[in-house]
Amino acid sequence: MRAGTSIDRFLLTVSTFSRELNTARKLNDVFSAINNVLKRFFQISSTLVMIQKKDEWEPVFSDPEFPIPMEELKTYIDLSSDRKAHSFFPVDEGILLILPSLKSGQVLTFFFALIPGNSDDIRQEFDSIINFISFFSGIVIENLQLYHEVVEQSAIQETLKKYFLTILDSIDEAIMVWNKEVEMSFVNLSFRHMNLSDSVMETVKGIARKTMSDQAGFSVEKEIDEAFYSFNSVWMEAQEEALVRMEDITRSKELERLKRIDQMKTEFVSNISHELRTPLSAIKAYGETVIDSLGTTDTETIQEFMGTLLEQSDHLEFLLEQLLDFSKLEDHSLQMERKAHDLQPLVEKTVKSILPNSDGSVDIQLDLPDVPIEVLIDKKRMNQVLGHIIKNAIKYRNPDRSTTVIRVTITKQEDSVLITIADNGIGIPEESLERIFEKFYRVESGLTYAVEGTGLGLAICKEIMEGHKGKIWAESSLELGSTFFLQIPLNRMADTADGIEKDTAED
Amino acid sequence: MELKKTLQKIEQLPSPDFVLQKIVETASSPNSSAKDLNEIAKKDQAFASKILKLANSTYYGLPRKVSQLTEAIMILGFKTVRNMALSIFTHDNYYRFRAKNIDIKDIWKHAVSCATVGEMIAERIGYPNKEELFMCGLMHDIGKTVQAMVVPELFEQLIALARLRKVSYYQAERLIEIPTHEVFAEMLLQNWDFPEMVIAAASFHHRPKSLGTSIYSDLVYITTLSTYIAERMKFGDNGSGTHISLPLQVWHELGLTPSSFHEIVQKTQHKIDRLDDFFSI
Repeated sequence: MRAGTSIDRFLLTVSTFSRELNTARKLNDVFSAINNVLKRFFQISSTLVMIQKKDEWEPVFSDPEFPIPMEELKTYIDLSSDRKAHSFFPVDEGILLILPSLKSGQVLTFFFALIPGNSDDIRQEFDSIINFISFFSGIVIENLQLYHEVVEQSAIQETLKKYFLTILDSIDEAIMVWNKEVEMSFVNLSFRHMNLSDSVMETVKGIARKTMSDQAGFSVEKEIDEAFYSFNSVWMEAQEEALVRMEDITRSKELERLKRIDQMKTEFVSNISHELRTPLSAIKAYGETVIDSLGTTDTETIQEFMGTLLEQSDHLEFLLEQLLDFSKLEDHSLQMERKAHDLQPLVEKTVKSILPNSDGSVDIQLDLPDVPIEVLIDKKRMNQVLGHIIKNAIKYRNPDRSTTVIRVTITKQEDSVLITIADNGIGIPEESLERIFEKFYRVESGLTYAVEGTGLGLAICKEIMEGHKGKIWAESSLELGSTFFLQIPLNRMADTADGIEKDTAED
Repeated sequence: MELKKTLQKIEQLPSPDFVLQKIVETASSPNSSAKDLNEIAKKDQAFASKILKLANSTYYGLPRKVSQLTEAIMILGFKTVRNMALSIFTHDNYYRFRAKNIDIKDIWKHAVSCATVGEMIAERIGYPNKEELFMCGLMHDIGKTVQAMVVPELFEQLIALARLRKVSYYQAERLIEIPTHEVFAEMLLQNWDFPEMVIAAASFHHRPKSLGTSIYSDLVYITTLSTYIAERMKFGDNGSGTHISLPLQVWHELGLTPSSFHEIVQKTQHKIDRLDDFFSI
């Protein structure tokens, strides 16, 4: 059989080497490929692989125990590192082949093979083949190293990802990350459990959009569908995404409100006992005086005492009624008996009933339209509201003014009628304006303890107005005065058709 | 310049003797063994001892002195020994004379430096056949000494012109419109019946693009780069009056990055410092 040409042998060797490397996944596979190829040319008695660890070359695989001492091998390593080429060294045991795996001018590993034989066995073609193996194995080894690095890195990343996901999922806050297309690129477990409504999601989207357009995060609290949420957003510059953290704070808001109410209730109890004690002590004092002085006191004096007694018990009754209203207000059982009434006479009558009680320094002006306005109201309750607001205006009058002016105006609007009660009193600070209609709330001022009151009046007024499907609100400037607005919806055809009879009876 | 006369003169220049021819042949013959080369070298002991001197030079830094060519072949490889033999032959026959305007020794230094730098480039860019680059680098400017030997006045004028006009030797040749050193090299190497790859490197290293795509492309581009580096680093003298710029094509063809280029250049000085035995063969 004719021996193949050198090119044939070279190609066959390259093919064998390539086939051997095809399944290489570990560094060891590369060396066994080198070994398997070399075996086709030489008898090999032992092999050794060295890799570099911290600038030192260390043996890793040896089969069997390599007979040449490490010190001697180091000198061959130095030469091969410098030349970036393989060498055959004649040694006592035969020939030592040192084969570096090269990549970009660097030696990655050294493969040593001990060949029992002599110089006759070293043919020129081995130089070409081994040179090729040096370069080709270098590329494969570098790729394997990169491959293992990638595998290792991705395993680390996977572990890290799980680690952080567990942390993120354990948080009660919902966490979302929104991308440029305003789609969610990440959500945590709490988000998935929340089942947020569309209106909440719209709000979240809006927050994500704002964060992206501002390129800055912010915090906000919002009330959506009777629930409270707190939102915190973070601008993620590298990803150009917006992270939104969201928490349902309804319960803590509610708790906060309840605490406040509880606090106000405590104040209310101490306040109301004071309020009740005042008329009570007057009643008791006068009653005792009258009994003690019966027979000695003249009728006129007794009459005066009894008059005051009656007056104080009226006030006591008023307080009790207010308390009663309040308890109804608590369980929303404040009943309205709405009937059709002309508004103007009602207003006039209320004002008249208050005026005699004032000391004359109060001027109540009425600006009422001539055409009667018929509204569907609970006359007694509406009276109560008007009376309370006018009395308040007098109660909180500005002591620096000689005359307190209260102007009551009725304006007919398209489908409602507006009653405005404007005064020139001390006014209400802006921060309190929204809260004056809350139960128990009393504006903190120098007058708080000077002026008596339960803190229930306006809350009851609000409840009454709402019972009429109407509204009550106020505007005010400190020192200049306040204006209260009462808006009552006008009679509708439907309402009258419901058979609500017109009450014309005069009280 | 009479062409016919010049050609005749080139033909009369020394061509590789029997021993060198045999060494070159053995080094390219796959079935030859280390022992075969030893037999040949025995026929010219002086030549063999010159090879051993180079093999034991600091350039190779062998861990122990080698006294047999067989050993040198096993340790350094067939082609490296061939390169040493070729170095000795060309130096002794083509670089041992004097010329005006330039020291021929410096041209030799340039040639050996290119040979070494070529090998270093090959290592860095992962081109396994690096011994051939040594040969290409060594022979790339042989045309210049051929000119110096065949038409010495012309050679000296070219050197003077290049220096005066601050142009490259190649540009000076083009200015006075004579056959370039590429042509002279080609004629010589063809007379020698030398491998085509060496002729390609000698003929195209100034204009690698003109070679087109060929199996010799890498060799030519690397030789272009190694002459550029040798010139820039002032390893010897190639008779130029200026620095030529590196064609952009070289970067693309060799996949060279600024960092790999920088790395090669950084390492060259150290390697060139160990070439003394080659410089003064």
